[in-house]
Amino acid sequence: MIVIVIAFLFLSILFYLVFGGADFGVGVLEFLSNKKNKIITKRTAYKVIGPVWEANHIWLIICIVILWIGFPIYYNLMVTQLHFPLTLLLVGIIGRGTAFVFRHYDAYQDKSQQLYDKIFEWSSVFAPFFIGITAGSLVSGNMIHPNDVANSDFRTLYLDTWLNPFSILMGFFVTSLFAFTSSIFITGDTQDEEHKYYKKKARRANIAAILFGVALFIEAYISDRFFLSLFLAHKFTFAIFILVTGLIVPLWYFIKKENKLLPRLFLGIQLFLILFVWSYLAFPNLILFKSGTLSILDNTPPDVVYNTLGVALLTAAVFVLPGLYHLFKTFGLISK
Amino acid sequence: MDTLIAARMQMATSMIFHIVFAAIGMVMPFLMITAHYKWIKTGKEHFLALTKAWQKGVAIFFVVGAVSGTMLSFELGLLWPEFMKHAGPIIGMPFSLEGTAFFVEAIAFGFYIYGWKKIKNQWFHWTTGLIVGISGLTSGILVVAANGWMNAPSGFDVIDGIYTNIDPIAALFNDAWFSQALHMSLAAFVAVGFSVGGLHLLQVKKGKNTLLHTTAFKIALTFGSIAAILIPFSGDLAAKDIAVRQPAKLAAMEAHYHTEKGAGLLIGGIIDEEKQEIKYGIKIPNALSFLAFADFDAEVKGLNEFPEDERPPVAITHYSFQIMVGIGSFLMLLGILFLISVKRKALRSKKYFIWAFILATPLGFIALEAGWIVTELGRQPWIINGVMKTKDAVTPIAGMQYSFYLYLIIYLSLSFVVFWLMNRQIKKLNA
Repeated sequence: MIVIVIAFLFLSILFYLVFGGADFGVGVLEFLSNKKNKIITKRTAYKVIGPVWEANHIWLIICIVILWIGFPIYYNLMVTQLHFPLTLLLVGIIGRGTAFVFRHYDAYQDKSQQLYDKIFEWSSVFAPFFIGITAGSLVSGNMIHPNDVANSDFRTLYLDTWLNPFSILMGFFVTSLFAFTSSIFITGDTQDEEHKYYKKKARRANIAAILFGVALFIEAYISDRFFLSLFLAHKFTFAIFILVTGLIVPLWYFIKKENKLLPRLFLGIQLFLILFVWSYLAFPNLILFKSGTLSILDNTPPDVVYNTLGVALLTAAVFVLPGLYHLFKTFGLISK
Repeated sequence: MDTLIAARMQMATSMIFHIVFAAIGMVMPFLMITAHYKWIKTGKEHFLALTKAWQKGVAIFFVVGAVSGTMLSFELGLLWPEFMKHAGPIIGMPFSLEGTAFFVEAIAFGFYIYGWKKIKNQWFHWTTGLIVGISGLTSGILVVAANGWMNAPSGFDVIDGIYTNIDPIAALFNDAWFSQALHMSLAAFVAVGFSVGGLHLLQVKKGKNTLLHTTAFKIALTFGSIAAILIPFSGDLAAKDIAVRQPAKLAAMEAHYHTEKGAGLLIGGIIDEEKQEIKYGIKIPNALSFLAFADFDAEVKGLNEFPEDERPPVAITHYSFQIMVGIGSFLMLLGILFLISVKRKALRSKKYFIWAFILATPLGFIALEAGWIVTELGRQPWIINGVMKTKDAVTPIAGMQYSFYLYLIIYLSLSFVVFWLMNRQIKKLNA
């Protein structure tokens, strides 16, 4: 059953990256748009993500719940050592969610819209940035092993864990990745001038993501991070890395062909592979520490916990996945 | 401010706000689909206008509720890491189910709110609204069940500080889950029914869009009144439960300092916690024994039975309990009055009738908050009753007061904006 639970954890993270990412990315794009195009972005954003945006963010809750129930030690490490970036992420999530609804449901369309827009745009950049920082911190090798917590000072435990160049670069990487995801989604739903505009955005976001990705590896090399040696130790993962990069070619080919669904599919595969490579490399030591290792399978709760959680998740999938599929289909996100 | 106080203040602030949004999210969809049902059946325009107006309200509150719920799911971990580490495997079950219910709700809500044109079958569309309501209510019940576990821990043993023999199902169906969930669900219907009804009645009084607002008043109060009449029973159930499981909480609720047979029920009074004295209170002889144990001569444990460091704060708990019971009784009477007015329409134009319901607008929520203060403060100093103390669960991070200030600002601004938005919705509706 623990395998099923881990699979669901993996799936929730992936879906949050893809759908939550596209969702956040719309705000990043709006943040980066000039005045005239902001209005177009706002309108398109509402059309594309309006019906599904709430559902997109529940994947995060599922991740948290699975970690909390199934892997309390990992969860505990995250909520203590990454207290600050998680709090800041939360501020981003709050600002964004509320501003999105306020600007679309306020009874009057007046000056207050400008404030909602500002909050929406800023928090849309803020949130992914701290998602990236959190993710980066977990693999940065700056986390402190539970055995070393007692003799570490405040700075090592609560600041250095996330306030380091690697985590920050990861923040930028994830932000540009989300902008890319979102522009891919939007290009599929726009025509003519707008289509061209988002194609341009997609190209820029793609370049930014690649640059930050390269910078991440350079930083890992300079700082001699374990992350990199793990990566270089396997030929197989290197092949997948080439594949991920190579998929950019068909992705752009189908964007040029104005195909709506295939670019989305390729992007989904890319994100899947990135996540897969990491899990494959590091498993079961998914969090990297300054010294020592802690497997996700260490000190786990008894089987009965995984059995009930597994059954709950499987039951949930029966209710949620078909509903979600129909929702996406009805509002044209996965159909022509 | 030390870390524990700061963390508790932050948690209390978050809960006080979240409860309001959550209650509205649990109940409003039912009001909305009732109006929607009437529209489908009668085709009268004002039902449609009301449905759409309430839909906007539901959308705003749903999102603010979801956001503050997400905040709480983070805060639980950020503030109480030790609690979460041990509690997760045991009581995570209702949270994972709640996640599912929330997911279903979000999907159904997507269909409902964006489906007015897209969904051809109007009954299918209406059903998605019903699913929003049912899953919202289910979410609430599940979260309250988890809270019930903190009051009545079950499904595990602690042997030498290690939590073992874990049984998540037994933890979910703890002794407190049913009475607490029932009481909370009814309370949500009372609070929302009376406040929505009151707000609309105020508009009727102002002579604005009378047909729509009168309809809204009737729908809201139908739900509110029935719940208000039922709630004393669920309250009685909960109190009898507490008497057995958490005698210290009951003693604090009643400012009952000394163990007594045939104990009296204290109404009102000013508590002096230092001297353990009560001034100006009225005591109804033997009533506490009867209400707690259905026996006029039963022994009710006083606070003297518990060590100093295991007693909950008495004054706040007692006052909150009084406020809750007082308001609950008043709203029950109003509920009966409303149901009478269904037959005797003339009542509704009486001045006292109109004023009573307008003044009742905030009361249900005040009672709801007071009830939760009783639940939470009455359990102190424990976070898991009798097992883990709140001070042992708190985060090791220093400077938590800044975190508290940050959250306070966030919640205050959220409330301000929501209040302002609702005002604008009403203005638009009357324009």
